[in-house]
Amino acid sequence: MRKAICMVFGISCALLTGGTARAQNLSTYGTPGLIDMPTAEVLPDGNLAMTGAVFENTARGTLTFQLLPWVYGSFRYAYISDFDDTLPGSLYDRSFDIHVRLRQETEYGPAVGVGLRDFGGTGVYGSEYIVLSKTFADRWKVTGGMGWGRLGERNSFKNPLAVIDDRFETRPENDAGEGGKLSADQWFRGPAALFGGVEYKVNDRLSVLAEYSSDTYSYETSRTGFDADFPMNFGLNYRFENGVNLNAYYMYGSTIGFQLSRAIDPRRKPAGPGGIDEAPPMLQPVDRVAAASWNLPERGGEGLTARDVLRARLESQGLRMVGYRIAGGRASVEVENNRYDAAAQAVGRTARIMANTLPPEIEGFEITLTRNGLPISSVTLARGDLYELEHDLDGSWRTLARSQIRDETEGPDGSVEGAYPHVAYRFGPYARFSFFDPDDPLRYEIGAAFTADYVPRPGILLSGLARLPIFSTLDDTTRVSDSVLPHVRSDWARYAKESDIQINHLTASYLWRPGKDLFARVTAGYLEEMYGGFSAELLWYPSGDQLALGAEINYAKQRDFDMLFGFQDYDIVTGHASAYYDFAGDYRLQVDAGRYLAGDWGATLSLDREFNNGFRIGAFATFTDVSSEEFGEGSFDKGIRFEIPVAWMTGRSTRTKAEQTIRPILRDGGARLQVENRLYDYVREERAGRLVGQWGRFYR
Amino acid sequence: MKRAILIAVLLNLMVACSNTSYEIETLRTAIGQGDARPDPRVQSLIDAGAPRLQVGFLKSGLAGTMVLEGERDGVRTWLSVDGAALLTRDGMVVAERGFGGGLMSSDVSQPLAAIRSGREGEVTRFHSFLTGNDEIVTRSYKCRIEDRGEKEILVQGKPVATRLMRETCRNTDHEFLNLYWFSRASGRMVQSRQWLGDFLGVVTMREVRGQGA
Repeated sequence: MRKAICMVFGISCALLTGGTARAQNLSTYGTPGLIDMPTAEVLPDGNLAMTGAVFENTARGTLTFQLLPWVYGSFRYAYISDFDDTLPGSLYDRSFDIHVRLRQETEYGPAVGVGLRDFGGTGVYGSEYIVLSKTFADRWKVTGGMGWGRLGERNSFKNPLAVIDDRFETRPENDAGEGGKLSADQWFRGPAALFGGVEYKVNDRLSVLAEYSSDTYSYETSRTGFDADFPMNFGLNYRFENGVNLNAYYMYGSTIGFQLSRAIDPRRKPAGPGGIDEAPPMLQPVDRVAAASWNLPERGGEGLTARDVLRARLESQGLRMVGYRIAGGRASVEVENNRYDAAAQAVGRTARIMANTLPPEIEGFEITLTRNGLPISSVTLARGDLYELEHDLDGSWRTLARSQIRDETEGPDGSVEGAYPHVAYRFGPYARFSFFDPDDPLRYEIGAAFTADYVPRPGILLSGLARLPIFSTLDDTTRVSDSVLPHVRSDWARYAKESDIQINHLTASYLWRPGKDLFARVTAGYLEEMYGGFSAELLWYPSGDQLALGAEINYAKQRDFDMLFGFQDYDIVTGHASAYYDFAGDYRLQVDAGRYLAGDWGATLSLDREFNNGFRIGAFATFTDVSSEEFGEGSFDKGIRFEIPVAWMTGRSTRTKAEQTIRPILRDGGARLQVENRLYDYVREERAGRLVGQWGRFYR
Repeated sequence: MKRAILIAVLLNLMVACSNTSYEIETLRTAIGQGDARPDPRVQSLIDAGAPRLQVGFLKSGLAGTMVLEGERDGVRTWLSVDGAALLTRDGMVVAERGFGGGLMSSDVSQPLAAIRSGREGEVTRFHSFLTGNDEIVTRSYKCRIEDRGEKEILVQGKPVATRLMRETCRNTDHEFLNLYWFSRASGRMVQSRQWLGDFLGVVTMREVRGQGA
């Protein structure tokens, strides 16, 4: 509709994804701010900022994500080295922040924001603030605010909130216990102090910063002798053309600091918006296709059959044709998309190749997308529409409007000779990482991996993955699990230590369509690194709907630490009922409720922001009937995760994704079995919602 | 035994092998060595003596020859050796594939009619771009067409008498300038300089004569 209005009035329809937003300065805490103090600014919606800052004996690495236009959240990993040997050694600290914009800046009024730093409460950065920022004459940005906790230390005064309730006067001692819980009983309590500062923009590249800090660094001062008596900090911010920011500081009259930061917009692909895939084959004029088709054996010619030509041409585009049927002026093909991160692009290329290959009297195309023989969706379109709309200004949307996307429970009758059995394998390097555990910011494992999928018949999948780690620091950890629960995950280091060649999974699965909008899976074998057993799943996923529901039940038995074929004694029946919901915009909500590996009952809540191009950032938390004391450090299972399509980075189509989950700590409560090929993610990319969302790539 | 496995594996780390994925190509692209592989389609077209087009991208410095894949519906598709394509209608670029810019389609009927007839005036042009978020956005531009008179240019070392038409376009986000040189003798566009969007900037194009274009 918006497009239609644009065309009618001839007005400019600028990229919604923007890029015009002014770059915000990021503080040493990696959030919009001055040097140590926050400002009321936020990042452009959806942006992801990475910051690394060092000064004196502190290093902070922060990831900030603008999850809503008015809310950002941060994850921080800090290192504070200790000079004083008599006290506990250096500190690795993980902390989460959240900032809410209460008011947007206007011509006459300031922006107002409120934030919580380190709201999890074990750490040293626990503080809260309310802050106002206002721009003057385009170049001056003035900020003033009030802080509590760590931000309420310098020249502090009685908490003005005590007017509401006397309890605000004192900040209770940090009784975080196992940590990881919200320290809500501390928020905005105890003495308060004022802070403020100014940013002056010299030009588009350079800014000068000055602030009055309300933080006295009492923790660091007492342990490391850091001198923060002088309240002022000064800094320079230089923005390079490639988007990298370099900051230099003179802090607290006693030390200097440096900082690098970069904010990215996931809606912009580094390799260019259009990608550098080869061009699709042009649609050949109908008379040329007609002339070429005279030589087909179907017409008494002696060339290859249309089916063989079609199959070879699709193969050259990374599309595997597994079904083919011609009836009543309509051609139906079944293809497996092995290349394109957008299913719509696979459909578009299939349609072009069909038009360039099949005799002209075939007027209707039906393209069924399948994965290892499991039909997922089908797209029906008219050949004539391709010719008419290939060069149309609004071609992709008009093509979509004239096409039909349906649920498809079976492929065309005609199978393609030799399509099954099918083998896919890979032998090559792998790397995996574990970030920010309590003792080491980075652990890694690099080695060789062999993976193979064998599909003897449609829907039957034999799958294996074996790895030989060569360089590994995963097994360097000296921690021994102190968990009072069954050690269902916390012995992960023993698996790393006691294995040589690892069988990561070795399974036999059957995937099928029990009915319309229904998907089913059964899997048996070595399901994951730590468990083997059986798994069965059913998913109801209406085509084009926002909601999907699923259920899964598993019997799991714990595997030996050598990750080969043996089992330990522990076994459990575990399973979940799941609901998946796509919110308007880019949000995905998932709730899984059921029984976890340690026998605990509860639910996992996951919220992801998945951009239309597949870039995904999310957070999850699991709450079960395991108490925080039983759970141990961290109190409950939680983490953040990323999924970045490799094609997003390189511009060349591939379905591979780089995935990473960051968990503060992996323990035994709220631990879920990791089964391969869970149905929702297995079929989602080829369901109607994603097909329509990425339809702009139909003619790409 | 273990050492033997280790060596085999280390060797394998250099080169991953697979029958399905395209990770080696991806890797080569990532480290910037991905353009040595000519598209088989292009080779056969070159062998068949298809018409050619010289192009140069001013922003990236990329330059080379493209070959005509075919024509349908008045739109010609030109392929580069690595399989990227430029689509032109009567010499005016309407789309691009594989150069990264995401120019999916255009409506250039107004400027095309004006420059071909040598008529000055105000026209509107429309471009549809694929964004980095896999969505299509359509932008419109107000353009002023001017006749810059006769110019003699060199095409393959030979002077050619041409008429130069200039198109100056703007909307709230962008401003650009397109230039078109039409041969006095044949009336055909022999050279041009055209804007392909924010990401790619300007492309210069020149026909390679003697190919029956």
